[in-house]
Amino acid sequence: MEEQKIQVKKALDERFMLGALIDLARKKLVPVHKHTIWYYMGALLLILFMIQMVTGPILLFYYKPAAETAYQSVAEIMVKVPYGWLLRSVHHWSSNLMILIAFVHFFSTFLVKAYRRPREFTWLTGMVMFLLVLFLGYTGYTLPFDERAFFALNVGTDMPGAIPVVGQYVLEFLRGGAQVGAHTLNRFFALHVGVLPLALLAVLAIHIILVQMHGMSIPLSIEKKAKDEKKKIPAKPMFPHFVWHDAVNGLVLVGLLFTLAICIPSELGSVIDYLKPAPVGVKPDWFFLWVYQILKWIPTYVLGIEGEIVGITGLAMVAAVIFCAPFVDWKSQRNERSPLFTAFAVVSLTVFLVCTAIGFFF
Amino acid sequence: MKHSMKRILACMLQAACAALLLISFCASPPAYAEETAAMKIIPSREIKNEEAAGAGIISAEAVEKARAITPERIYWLIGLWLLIILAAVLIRWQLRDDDKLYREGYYSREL
Repeated sequence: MEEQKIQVKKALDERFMLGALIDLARKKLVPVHKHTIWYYMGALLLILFMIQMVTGPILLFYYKPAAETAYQSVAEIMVKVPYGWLLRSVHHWSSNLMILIAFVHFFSTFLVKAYRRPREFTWLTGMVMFLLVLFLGYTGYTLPFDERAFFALNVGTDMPGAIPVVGQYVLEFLRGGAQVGAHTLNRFFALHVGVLPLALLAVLAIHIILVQMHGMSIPLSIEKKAKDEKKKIPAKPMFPHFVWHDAVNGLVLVGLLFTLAICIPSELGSVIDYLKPAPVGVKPDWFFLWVYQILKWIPTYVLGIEGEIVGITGLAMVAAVIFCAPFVDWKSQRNERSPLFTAFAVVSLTVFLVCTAIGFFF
Repeated sequence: MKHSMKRILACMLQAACAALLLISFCASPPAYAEETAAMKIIPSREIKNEEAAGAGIISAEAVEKARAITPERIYWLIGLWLLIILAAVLIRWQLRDDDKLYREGYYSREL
């Protein structure tokens, strides 16, 4: 038995270099300190992405991407397809959890300045993935083509229209015309099942390779403390220790996902009435509530400029600073404390939480 | 009992639980099973009549009914959580062994 096992191992190693991969995983060390918990977020995101990649194509077998058929096909998935309600709910909740954990991952890496040298490109790929995940969430929200989706499409595609110079082109490109209609659904469907997942897969591959190459980033305070005490930072191998921890976290996540999917299955709104005006208090999905709330607070005109343009330009500038953080936070790059960027991260987190809460409850 | 034997037993136990859960899930009738006949040949005239009467349209009430929490769904969820807890406990055992090896210096300890 033992000899057979060795032979199988040898055969697999010869063909797939499994031994080399395991050796690599064993050699990769994960630092152990009080912020280690944040290292688990990446694996959770990967698990949720895999769930999406399994449930999404199954839903595609039944979904009919046309303005006349989309709503009824989603209703059929919910009612007629065996366990269709569960499949759709798991897809829906896994996407919501993915966005939530992506926010946690983003803010945790921002606060511990994980973008410090040599991880600039890991940060950039992470930011691109974050945007792709948000757009995947938004495009997916519109596919049932119910009343909520219709108003979300109207409001969501209207926002880029406020961008100076290129806004109108972006708006028409997204809508497939001047108004939201059948072409808009086709475009959002193509983006949701083709363009965005493929782009995410490609960037994800680069991100994972970069994380493996550079290892986990250690917070500056931990590094400084170890240096002052002339001690080395303790570390455990990725395999098997952290892989097992990821497995436990993943199992709990799957449990939570199915609990949400069974106790709060995804909804299906009313059929679209194109003549009906937008209902009072129509809101975007939770992950864009903070944008909605900020834009709501800005007056119609600021110094003679349209309030929406001011708001979107301001938000875009903040996003650009965050995106370019590795190149503008010089202090962190020199491994020095950077209170300005810490304050910036804390304020961003507070604004996000407060605006989302206000948008949700009021 | 040998260590590897313990692992094999644990894996078998887990596989048995997973199989039981899967069987119970697949064996239980879906909420709308009573609406679909097992096998029926429908003449095209009948289909046309049904379409004319709007039989293909699914109402909002039917969707709401499909979303309802039924006792079967709750039992299934409890089963899933039991399986998850069992798997987590088994992994904890494995982690304890790995941590012992770590303390004994089998793995590198510092960056």
